[in-house]
Order: sequence, then structure tokens, then C-alpha cells
Amino acid sequence: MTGTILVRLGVAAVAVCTGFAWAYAESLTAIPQPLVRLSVGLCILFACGVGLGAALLGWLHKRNFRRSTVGIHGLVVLEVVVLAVRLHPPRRSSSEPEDAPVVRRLPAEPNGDCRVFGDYPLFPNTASGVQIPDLRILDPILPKNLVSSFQELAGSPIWSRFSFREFDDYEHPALDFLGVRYVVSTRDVRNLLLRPRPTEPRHRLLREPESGRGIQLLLVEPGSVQTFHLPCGGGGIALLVQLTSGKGGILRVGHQSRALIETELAPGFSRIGPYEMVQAPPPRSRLWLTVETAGDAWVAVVEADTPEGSGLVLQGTSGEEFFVYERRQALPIC
Amino acid sequence: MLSESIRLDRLARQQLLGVEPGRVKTAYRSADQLRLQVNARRGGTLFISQTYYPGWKATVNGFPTDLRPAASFLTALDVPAGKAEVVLKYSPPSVKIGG
Repeated sequence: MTGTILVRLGVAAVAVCTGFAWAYAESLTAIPQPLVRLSVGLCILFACGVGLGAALLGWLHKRNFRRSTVGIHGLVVLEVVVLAVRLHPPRRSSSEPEDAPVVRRLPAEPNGDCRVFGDYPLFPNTASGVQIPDLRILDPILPKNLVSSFQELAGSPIWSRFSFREFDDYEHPALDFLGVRYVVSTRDVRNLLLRPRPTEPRHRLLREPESGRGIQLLLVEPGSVQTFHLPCGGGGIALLVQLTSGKGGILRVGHQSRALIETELAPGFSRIGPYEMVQAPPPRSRLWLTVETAGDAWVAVVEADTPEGSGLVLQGTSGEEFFVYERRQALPIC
Repeated sequence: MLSESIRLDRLARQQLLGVEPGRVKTAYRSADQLRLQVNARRGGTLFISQTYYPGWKATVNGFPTDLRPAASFLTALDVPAGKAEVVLKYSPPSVKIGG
């Protein structure tokens, strides 16, 4: 009897310690592993758990509790362990941000580490020195100060800490100071870069957008936009659109600068139309069709049922194309 | 001593146009430690292109030195003239006690 209780309570104590240690270790996975290993707190937690288990064991033994009481204690302990694990679920790989492919494709940097800066969403990652690879996990390192400083540089408001709209002064010394060697832009900013200078150009274009090859958006804001051109016979139009992204989008169909259809798209298949054009474009002209999504990765398959394009399938790759520039005057990051 | 109110652009121009910037070599760098070898003709301020965050502690030639924010989000500290070994270590109490 006593031996059985001892074994059960010993198992319960180990379960409590393991559960709490596991739960806390999961919450610490964002911290570099050497820090976790050196954590005195985990050791203290473990010791407290073992001590508590031993004290409970002695107390129960002294009081000569019944099996049912011990069982209830065990159940409570089990619930606590389950609750602790549920409160600190393991990180799922799907929730971790993916590397930006355009950054991954940059050439190996021969002069040490450097940073990347881009239109719209990509601030220079000033936390790279402490090996935090992605700006989107900057929460613990005072992003507000960084954003406010860049707001001063840009001279215009910033939407959020990830949305930078446009920044025209790519030759600003602050970017040199921050070790920004590469600029990624949705625009051709060569006119902004090629200011008259006594020395040789301080930039070179590394990559121009290539037709038919998409590069995934660096971050999820703003959404990606893909444009197609459709033949149109001047009558009606019917579309079948598939979004593989988990988020919906907006589809617009128009002629020249005027949108004729604008409708929301749900994830999966959406049937649009058939629409009879009130002011139909002339025969043999082309409609433009734009699919705009909030997500960064999607494929749109469009089947257009038009007089001249029945069964037409257009497949869009995700995201936009980027210009990539190298800034030669960037200082190395120390 | 430069204050926190210095803007990033001014800081950068000073850095680029500085008369005697000195030399800095990174001897070791990890997620929680940075060791620099500094050689400056005059004492001054060393700016580190790294996010300022409380919990980092610095020593210069083995003596504790205060870190301060520069341009509101970068890290700076004072260094003496001549050769110096600067060590930055991330060691906040919260990590020690398991926070």
C-alpha cells in the first residue's frame, strides 16, 4: 500500500516537473538556446517541483490517506500538467514566417553582413546583429523607436510598423550607417539613384523584373496583385477563379482605365458572371483582369468564357516583381 | 556626449564625415555577445548598428561602461583613446531567473 502510493506520487511529481519544464521551455524557444541552457529559473522550477512532490508525498504518507484521495490528487496533477501544456502549445512551423526569397537570392556578401531595405514593408533589420533574422519578430526590441526614426527620415507618416509606403532617398547616409547594401523596390528607382555625382555611380542594378517569373512578396502587406489580359468579343463574360490562398481577394475586370466588374473572391473557387456588358468594349479589344489578394502566396486560375476565349486558362504566380539594387557605399555592420 | 535626441540622419552624416572615426574590428559575435577591438586616436563615442535594448551590459577593457540609446533605437557607448576591447553581453535579470 505504502509502496504503491509512493510510486504513484513519485510519478505524479515527475509529471508535474516535466510538464512545467516543458511548458516553460516552449515559451523560451524564441530566446537563443545558450540563454535557455543557462537559465537558473528552470533549474529552480524543477527543484521546487521535486521538493513539492516530496513534501506532498510525506504529508500523505503521514496522514495515511486513502487510495481514492490519492487518486483525486493524481487527477488534479494530471489536469494541471495538461493545462500547462495547453497554455504553452509548441510552436507550429506554419506560424513561423518564411524567408523572403528575394533576400535569399541575393549574392553572397563578401564584405561581411549587410542589411536589406525595401519599398513598402521592409525596414532594415537592426536586430540582425543579435541574430533575430526577421523583422516581423521585432516586438521585443522596441520597434516603435525604429519606426519613429524612419518616419522622420521619410518625412511622411508610416502606416504601421511593417508598412512604409515609399521612400525616395535611397542615397541617404543613414542607410549607409545602418549597413543597408541592398534595396528592393517595386519601382524602377534608377532615376532617384542616378544623381549627378563626381565619382562613379554608387549603385548598380542587380535584378530587373522578368516576365513570367514571380517573386513572392517579402511580407504580407500590401496584398499581391496580378493582372491578365483577356480577349473579348464584346458580349458578356463569365469567369471561374480559383484562389489557393487561405484568404480572399478582389477581382476587377475592366477595359482601358475603367473597371466594368468589381467583386469579392472567396478562397477556393468563385464563379463570376455571366455578365452582360452594358457598355461593351469593341470586338477584338482586350479586357484587363486583376486579382488582388490579402495574402502573399496564391495562384489564380482563371477560366474566361468569352466569345473569343472560351475555356481560356490563365495562371498567375504569386506576388510582384522587384527591382534589386546594390548600394556600394554601405558600411559594414559591426 | 551625444544625447538620445540626435536624429538618425544627423548621426549618419557625422559618422560618414567624421574626421577621426577610428577603427573597429569584430572579434566575436553571437546572439548574446559582441566583442569588438577598437583603436581610436581620441576618446569618443562608439555607435553600434544594433538595436538598443535594456539588458545589454558593456565592459571596456574589463571595466563596466554604460550603454545608451543613439538615434532612439541604436546602441552607443563611450570608448577611450587608444586600443580597447569592448564586450557587450546580453544578461538581463529576467533571463537569469528564467523569465
